[in-house]
Amino acid sequence: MEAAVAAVDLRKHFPRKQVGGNILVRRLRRYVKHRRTKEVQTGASPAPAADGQTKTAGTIEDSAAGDDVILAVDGVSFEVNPGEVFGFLGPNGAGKTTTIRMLATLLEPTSGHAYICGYDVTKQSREVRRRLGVVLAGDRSLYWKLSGRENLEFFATLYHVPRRQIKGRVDELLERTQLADRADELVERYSTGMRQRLSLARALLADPPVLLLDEPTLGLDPQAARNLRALVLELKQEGRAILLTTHYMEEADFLSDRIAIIDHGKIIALDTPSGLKSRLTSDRVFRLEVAGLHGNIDCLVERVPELNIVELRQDEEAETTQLTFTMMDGQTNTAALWQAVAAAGLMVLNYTVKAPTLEDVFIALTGRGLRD
Amino acid sequence: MQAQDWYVLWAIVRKEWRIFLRYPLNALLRIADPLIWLTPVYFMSLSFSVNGRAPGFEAFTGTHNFLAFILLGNIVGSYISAVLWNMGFSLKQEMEQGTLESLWLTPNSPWLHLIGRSTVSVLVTGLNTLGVWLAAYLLFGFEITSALGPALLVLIPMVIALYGFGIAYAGIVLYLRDAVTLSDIGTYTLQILSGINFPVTALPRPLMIVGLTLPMTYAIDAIRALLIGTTPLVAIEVSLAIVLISMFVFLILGRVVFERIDTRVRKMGTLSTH
Repeated sequence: MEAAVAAVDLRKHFPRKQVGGNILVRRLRRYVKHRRTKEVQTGASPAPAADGQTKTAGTIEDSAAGDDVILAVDGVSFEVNPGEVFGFLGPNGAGKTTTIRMLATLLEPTSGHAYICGYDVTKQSREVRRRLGVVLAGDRSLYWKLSGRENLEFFATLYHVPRRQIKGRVDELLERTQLADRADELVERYSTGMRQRLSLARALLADPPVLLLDEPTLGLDPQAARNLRALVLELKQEGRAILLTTHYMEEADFLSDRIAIIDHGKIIALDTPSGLKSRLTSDRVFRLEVAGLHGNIDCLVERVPELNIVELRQDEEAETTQLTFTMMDGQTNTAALWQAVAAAGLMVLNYTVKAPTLEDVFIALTGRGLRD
Repeated sequence: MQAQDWYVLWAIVRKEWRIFLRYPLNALLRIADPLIWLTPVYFMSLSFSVNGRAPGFEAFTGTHNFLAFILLGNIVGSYISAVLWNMGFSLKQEMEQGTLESLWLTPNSPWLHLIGRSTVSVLVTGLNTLGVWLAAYLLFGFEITSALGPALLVLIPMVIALYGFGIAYAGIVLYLRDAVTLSDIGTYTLQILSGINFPVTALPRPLMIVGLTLPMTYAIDAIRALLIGTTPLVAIEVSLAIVLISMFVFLILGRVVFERIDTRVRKMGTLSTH
């Protein structure tokens, strides 16, 4: 089966834009830096990266221009199959939206390739756009001075829906997104949830085999988010390939068949939700909040065999420590844990045991939370 | 252009027209606007005339009809503004309201959106022209000569040439993300150098040379010569040829410039920023 979406070593970097200060001084400094780099390179001849650029952590030095650049997406590769929801999970600024924009032909990759239904996003952008339905984050992508129906009729023509089918298609999508009774009101009177549903209806006008949904439930109330998720699952059942970005771990867990966790522009893990969770060393995650530890966890680590700390947070003001950890053998080690707590004279404020979440996986992989 | 492109164009025009009418006061003002500037021009022309003639003006232009001279200049000038302002400004407006990316995501050429949007503006300018003509006829006795057909033969290719120029200009707006300043500079420069409000021969020599490189100068000059009998800068056939050649050149150049800038903007990732 041919993948509906394929990204191969996709990379995007942007020049680091600086404002303020003297632009001439900045350019002069950049030039001097560039000259020095060139001199060093002439002497040492370091091996350049595949795209001719020398990388450092987080930024790269463009060898041609000498400009500092930001690596937004750094060699991302994945595939999405028909009938699959592929979740892109990561904190804000991780590179999710940049990846979606490259797939949607709104942004040209710096290097690498991406294909939608076999069409190259850079070289065959119009063929790609014919096969794509895109919902971008935010609710300003519709004409607020037109009604919901007028918006859909307008975009239906732009998506080359045959003229005789426009009315039927628009009515069907308005019904499906539960907007039929408000279809003739101006979009400016719609709630955020209604606008988001209308955006999804617009994305479906051309009956596309691939859907790119960028934070589709952002800003929605819980009920509206639930309805939208149910609709996404329906669309998956129809055999569409859906690429979804989100920083809501529950959403990614609920909707996705496979999830790529992205951080600093790189995919750091790619698996099914259960596969990702099984990477933790236990099927249970323990949370312990104590007073009197002062961040020194040695007294616990030394006494409890195979204690794997996932996260450690300290509240300096309240003088409490919050530990998230897993243990290889929960039953045996729990006894050892309580003995260690008693021996260290710690006061237990809170203790919970629960199934691991994607957030725990993310923390275990990056050392920080999704919302940090 | 394929049949599908015409449907797309028509959908854009209908959408723009609907939005235009959803701000009724603005729509009314846009249509009535020319009458507001026409009245002071008429009274100013009266105050400069001696026994109905303005000898200095007549020496420059070959006609004593100051009102008609200004009227025609401003009508043609309003098409320049309609196309230029709308190409750049509408793009900026789509950027600001957040709809530009939605349009760019559809499988159409971006310049179709530009043409569609400014077509509404040209239609409104067409309504303005009729209104001004009617008002000038009823209030000031201004009459249309029989050379209206040939004048339209000059005006229409000029408007098409402006579309080409406007498409390139919209590309610059896309890149610089500043429409107001650019539109003002572009419109004022063209208005001054192409002789909309005064004969181009009244300009200082260096500026006049620049003015004579602009195809719009010849279009305005030919239209005036045909409708009110001013002395043309060059033979009307030559002006028409210049306008026709510039129409093709600007259309090709406009598209090339816009597509290059569009690609550049997609590389920079600044399509949605403003």
